[in-house]
Amino acid sequence: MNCLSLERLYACLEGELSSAESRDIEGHLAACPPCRNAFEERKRMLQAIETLPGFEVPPEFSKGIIDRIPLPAKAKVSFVRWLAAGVAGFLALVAVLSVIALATGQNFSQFFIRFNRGLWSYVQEGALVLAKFAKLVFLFLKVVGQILGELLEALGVFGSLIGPDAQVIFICTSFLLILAGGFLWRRKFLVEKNHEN
Amino acid sequence: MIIQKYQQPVLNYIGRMVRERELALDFSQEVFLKVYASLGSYRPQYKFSTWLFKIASNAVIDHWRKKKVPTLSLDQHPDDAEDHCPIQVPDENPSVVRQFELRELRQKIDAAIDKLPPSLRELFVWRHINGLSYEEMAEIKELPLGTIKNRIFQAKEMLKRLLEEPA
Repeated sequence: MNCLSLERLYACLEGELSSAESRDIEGHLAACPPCRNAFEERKRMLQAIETLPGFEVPPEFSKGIIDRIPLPAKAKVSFVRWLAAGVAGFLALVAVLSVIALATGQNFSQFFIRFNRGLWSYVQEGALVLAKFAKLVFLFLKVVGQILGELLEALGVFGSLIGPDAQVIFICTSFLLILAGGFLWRRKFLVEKNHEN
Repeated sequence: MIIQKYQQPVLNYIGRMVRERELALDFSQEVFLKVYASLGSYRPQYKFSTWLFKIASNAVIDHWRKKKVPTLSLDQHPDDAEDHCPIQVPDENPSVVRQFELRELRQKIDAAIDKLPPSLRELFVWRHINGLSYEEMAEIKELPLGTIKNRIFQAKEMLKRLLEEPA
């Protein structure tokens, strides 16, 4: 009786043989103590390997990966694309207007003339609003300038009333206060930004 | 999600290959990042796990090359141990003694797997810990099926000899 090869024993243990082949092997094992011993040893080893515990995955493992995925860079839109988008928008507008003109049964040229007049009146009104806004900004700047002028004058008077030593102390104190204010504001800003992130 | 599905098998594989927990965690994260970066090159006609393990395997090989880890040749065996006592673990019932012996055996197996040459260890882990088929491994390693089967056989027999060595 020829003993079984180790390859066949493993194939039997890993279920790679047909049921007929497995039966043959079982028959041989029942009659051959050395082969049975070899089979049992390998069976126990493979069983123990199957029950080896897996590597413990920390709960933050997947989050760590996701956090490391680089964010996609913002796509830069080229000038040609902007131009193409503008042309496409214009053509779309013309197409929509043509459909409206067709749907309302109006003459194309008259429709476009009316549309242009309407558009021009909107442009004129917009320009008027812009002009008023610019005037307001100018007035605001003028008032701010006057207030600053008054403040400077008051400071001059104040400076003439106190001595040169007091002037130096006053300037230094003001400078330090401005620096401290800037530092505190920056810190508050950074804390808020970190909270947002 | 890909990470959730494959984190355990990838960690089991890389953990056994690099043998250091923290390094294995870092390494596995790197592998998933590589997978993410290469998703565009994945071809759906291949099994995803095969593709993923190929990336992981290449990363491990790169790591060994950088670290210059000594690897044994496939023909090189540990000392022949024909006359060593076989493992005597009774198999009749799952008694407390059996449980204890099983735990002890697992510890011995863990240590023995670490002693396998990396090229055999990789295939052994894929087959018996990750449950990959011989065909998948042949595809990952781009080797003939017979070569893969033969190497895994060598790994198992080497492992058995290592287990029989006195502690």
